[in-house]
Amino acid sequence: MKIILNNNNKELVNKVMEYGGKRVYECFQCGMCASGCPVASDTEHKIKRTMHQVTLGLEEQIMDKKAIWLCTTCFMCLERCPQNAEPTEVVFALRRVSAENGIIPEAQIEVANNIYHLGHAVTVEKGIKLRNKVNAPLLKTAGSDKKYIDEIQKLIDSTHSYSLLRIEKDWKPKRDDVIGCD
Amino acid sequence: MAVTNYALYTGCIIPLRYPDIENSIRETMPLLGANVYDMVGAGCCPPGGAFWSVDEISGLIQSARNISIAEFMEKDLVAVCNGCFCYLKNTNMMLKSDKEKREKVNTILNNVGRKYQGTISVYHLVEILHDHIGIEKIKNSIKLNLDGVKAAVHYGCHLLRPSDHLMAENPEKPHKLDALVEALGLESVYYPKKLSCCGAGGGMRGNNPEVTLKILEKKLMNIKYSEPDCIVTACPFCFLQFDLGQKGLREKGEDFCIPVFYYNQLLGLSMGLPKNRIAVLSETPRDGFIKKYYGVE
Ligand code: SF4
Ligand code: SF4
Repeated sequence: MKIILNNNNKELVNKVMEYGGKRVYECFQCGMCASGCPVASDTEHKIKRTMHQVTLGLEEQIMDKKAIWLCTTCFMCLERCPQNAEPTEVVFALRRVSAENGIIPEAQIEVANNIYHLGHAVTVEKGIKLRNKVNAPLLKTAGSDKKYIDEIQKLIDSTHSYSLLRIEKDWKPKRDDVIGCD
Repeated sequence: MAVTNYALYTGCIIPLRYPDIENSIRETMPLLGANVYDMVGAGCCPPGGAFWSVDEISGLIQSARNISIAEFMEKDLVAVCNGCFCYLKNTNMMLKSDKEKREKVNTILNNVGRKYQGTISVYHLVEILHDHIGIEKIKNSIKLNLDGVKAAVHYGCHLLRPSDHLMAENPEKPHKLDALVEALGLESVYYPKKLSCCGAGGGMRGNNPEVTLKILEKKLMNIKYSEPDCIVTACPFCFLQFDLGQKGLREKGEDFCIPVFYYNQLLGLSMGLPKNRIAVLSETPRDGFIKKYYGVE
């Protein structure tokens, strides 16, 4: 594959810096980040390479593979980076750019819709059955009362996440499985 | 005994998938002089994989709403999940120091009659147990010592990192959970890459079930190296990953069947609390372990 560098393409790096990856230019490509990354050897998510691609403006190369969504956000790279370039923050920023372009994993849309409609990342009905089974006290969290869910909905309605995470007004939870929570 | 009061932030996984873990926390903490109170109406933290990954402000707002509930109770917040701890503490740090963000968040929170004030601290349960209560008190509270039983301790990422925000542990040489486990008599064994990820977080479990199992398998291979009798963690999502993940790997023909406990479940059993309330729900069997070492069915 032929890659044409366009050093005038500062659009991506500017956005990344605006969205939280403020220190991306500090990276000097030492590779410490990738050496402790739990997904580096099994996936296409190569954090050291991504850091460089951002400053080179290679947006397509990053976005096409969707690999930024395979980061577990373990913060090992951020912890160990000798330049404090905050690679995990760069991943978050890239995800924000990706979401703006409409690319976001289905599972995250599911989690977000659960939270919007149930107050929680997982289904509440099954939870209450399990609580009864182990004699847990009455649930008092957001999922226990519609008035708290209304509150959360009002908050989400006033942010970009409402459209970015494709919140649906009529939503039936798809499964009782825990899809994601952190 | 000096008593301290905390606002208990349970999150989503513990109250709705592992309520026996919730019972274990509610029942053990008061015995150690730490009363925990419900945060009525608290919602999801929210998670990094969804909200924080698309828009920082929507993460901040939901986190700040949760913190404001504890502020209203005038109690420090204790998180019992690493993910909740990481995002709530991060929010608290950020909003305490960044006036502009705080004002932006409060303008929106005002629409639902809430306000973030920055008046409380956010802690992880491990910090309460180790730093506030202390190892001696825990040693004195147990009825049965599991001397010689081997535990593989898993800290999980979001209890340790990013350490300059969380400040709960030494990120390269953590010791608190090990010390808590050893207070029950168990031996916390060495295993390679102890601080590495279980593979569940950041949306991974949902985004790519294949990869999540692959990372877990690597973690488990390292754990197996030390031949532990059980795995102990203080995060329900890591717990879930080890519990359901081992089942997933067994279904693929792999031989992984190490009993998994949330710390307070072991603590409760050691205190003599009834198993049928505090250690019931798991897909990877634990009853054999409990019978063998605690002598209860
Ligand atoms: S560890 Fe830091 S400086 Fe080194 S390659 Fe990774 S991001 Fe760049
Ligand atoms: S935060 Fe993401 S990129 Fe960094 S080490 Fe962890 S999985 Fe790899």
